[in-house]
Order: sequence, then C-alpha cells, then structure tokens
Amino acid sequence: MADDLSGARDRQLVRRIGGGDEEAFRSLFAAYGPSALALAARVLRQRHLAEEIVQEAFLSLWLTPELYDERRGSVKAWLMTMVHHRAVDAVRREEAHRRRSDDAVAGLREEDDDPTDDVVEGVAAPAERAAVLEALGSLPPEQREVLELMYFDGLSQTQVAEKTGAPLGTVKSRALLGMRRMRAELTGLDR
Amino acid sequence: MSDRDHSVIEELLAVHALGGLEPDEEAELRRAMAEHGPDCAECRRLEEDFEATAGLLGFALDPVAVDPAMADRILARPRVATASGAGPERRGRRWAAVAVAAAVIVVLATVAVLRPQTQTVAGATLTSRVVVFQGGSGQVAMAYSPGEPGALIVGKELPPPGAGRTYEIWAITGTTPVSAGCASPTDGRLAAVTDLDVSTSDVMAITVERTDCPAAPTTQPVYTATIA
Repeated sequence: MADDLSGARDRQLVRRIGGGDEEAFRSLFAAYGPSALALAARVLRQRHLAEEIVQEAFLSLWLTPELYDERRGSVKAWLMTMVHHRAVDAVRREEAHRRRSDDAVAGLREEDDDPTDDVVEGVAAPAERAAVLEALGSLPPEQREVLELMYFDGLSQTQVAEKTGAPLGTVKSRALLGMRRMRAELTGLDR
Repeated sequence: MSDRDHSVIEELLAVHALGGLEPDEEAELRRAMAEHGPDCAECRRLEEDFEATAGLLGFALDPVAVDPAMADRILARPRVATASGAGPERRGRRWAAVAVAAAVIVVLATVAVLRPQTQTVAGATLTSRVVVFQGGSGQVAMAYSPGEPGALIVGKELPPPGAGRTYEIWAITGTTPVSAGCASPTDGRLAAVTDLDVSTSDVMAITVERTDCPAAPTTQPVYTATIA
C-alpha cells in the first residue's frame, strides 16, 4: 500500500513538473537524487562524473517530463533507468576511446573514488532498498553475481564471461533467469 | 500473447536492461524487434518489465548525499517545450523571451513544412531564417533568428519513433553534437522549442533515441539540415 501511495505521489509530482512546478521537482530530486548518485558513482567510480550524469538525468526530467509514460512503470524506476543508461553509455564510450587510443592512460573507472564516502543513512527510499536487497538475496549466487557485475560494475555480458570464466551462453541464461526472478519479486514495488 | 517465438528477444532485453549488451548486440536486438514490428505487444511488455525491474536494482545501494545546489542549477535552465508538453507556469524571463520569439516564427516554420521547397518565406522578418530538413518520411523544418537563442522545430506526417523511443534533436558543430531536446509527434505532428542558439551550429540532426534522451546520439540521423 505504501508503494501504491508513493507511486501515485511521484506520478502527481511529474504532472506538476510538466506545469513548471519547481517544488515538485525538488521533491523528486530529494527523494531519489541520493540513490541516483549512488548508482552512477558505483558504475563510473568517479564522483564528479557521477554527479554530471545525475544532473543530466534530472535535467531531462525538468526539461521534458512528458517523456515519462505512466504505463511503462514507476517514476522511480524510470529515473534510475535514465541514470543507469547514461552511466553505462559513459563507460562504453570511455572503453571505446581507450581501445582506439591504445594507450595506458587511466580510464574512467580506474580512479576508483569511493562512492560510499558520503553515504546518507535513512534518508532516501528505505523501503525500496530493503525490498531490492531481499530480492537480490533470494537469487542463486551465480545469478546474483552476473546481475551485479553487469548492473553495478557496468560490465558487458562478454566481459562478465571473461571475468567469471563461465561460457557466454551461461552468462546469458543466468542474466535472464535472474531478471525473471527479480521481476517477480519486485512486482509490487514498481507502481 | 503472441504465438511468435520471443525467446531471443527476451534474452537480449534482459541483458539490455542490465546494460550488458555490446553495440553489435544492441543492433541485433533492434533487428529482432523490428522483425516483430512496432505493434508487437509481447515485445513491448518484455521491454517494459525488464526496464522497470532494472530501474529498481539501483536502490540496493546506500544513498549518497547530493549537493543541494545541483537542483538549483537544473532549475536555472529554461524549459524545452513540446506541442503536448509543459504549461506556462513559473517560467524564467529568458524562457518567456524564447517563447515569444518562437510564437513569432512558428508560422514561418509551418509554412516551410507545408511548402518544403520554399527557402525564402513570404512575410519573414529580416532576421528570421527557416531551414528544411532532408531525409526520412514526412516533413520537418526549423525557424530561428541568427545570433539569438531559440529555435522552433516543427514537423508533420512523421512516423512514430517506436515503443520506448523518442526523436532527439541535435545541434552539431564540427563533430560535437549538443542535444536540443527530445520530442515525440502526436498524430504525426511535432513541435519543439529549444533555447540553443542554433545559428552557431553547422548541422542540425534528428535521431531516434531512448526516452531517457542520451547525452550523445546512439543512432544515425533520420533527418538533417545544414545551417547556412
């Protein structure tokens, strides 16, 4: 029920942002900005780049809120998806650049800022965090490992196969099974 | 539920949602979905479900404090409006100026769309210019005033960008694209306003992108226009 209420509140906030309501924007930013920054910082391993990504994503919310489609899931999942896609895109671009330049310059993810330096406890989305941790904990370890390497470490499935030593087909299967199970576990949260 | 086999698409979509596909695998996914067509309900359901699930995974992490000034910086940016987009509340003075300029030139761009061969539009002010985009189906034109922020892009008879996709407009200078915003057509008609000074760009381009409006183009342009 709490998820229903927060989901409805978020959708209402997005509608208000469509009307230029700055307070509505600040409410969503306060609710999900900290989780968004944690995600971007985890994927990118660089705080300042993570902040750029989060700013881009929330700027997109402010400039074009009509891109949120209520039929496609919750506002919070949409926001986090924007952040994740952008962070992964940045990682891929950097990897491509490094392959082209074929140099040994330290890349995006090698500075390895510790994103947990400024952890804020008990501020943002505690119910979501508990539910997702429980769902991840219910996965078989090999499925959880694949999901975490791809989603949180920004590795491609090919890189996951290389890192774990598992055949690519096995990695694909584990990703699919893991995502099916997560989808079933989190259905109530995505409103 | 469709009778078609969705196993390949489902597997690719699951990894796509996790960010685990390489560019060639992303292309494979797009090809597979294109074969099923834009009206494949099962494809859309799978994509939406996996995207929504992946979007929640990030909440597993401990939240990190965000600089409160970031919200101020974002709110300082003027809005990009679409035909079906935001209302007029609480806009900055700069945005208001852009909107007024857009209102003045909207007729010019509309005329250009209706008469795509016309480069000099009767009634145009001395400072207004209109360019017509090439490529793709339907018609797209942009009106702007050189040296001033603000441009209006209008189109008609445009095809839908597809489920989970939007058109993204780019101002390209040299090889550097800058997003001028995202917009989707309604009944084939599109209208978008940007606050960029497009006259400093070499080329304008429109691509089909994800609805999160990536910071750099991920697909080839569907429409392009050269800035004189």
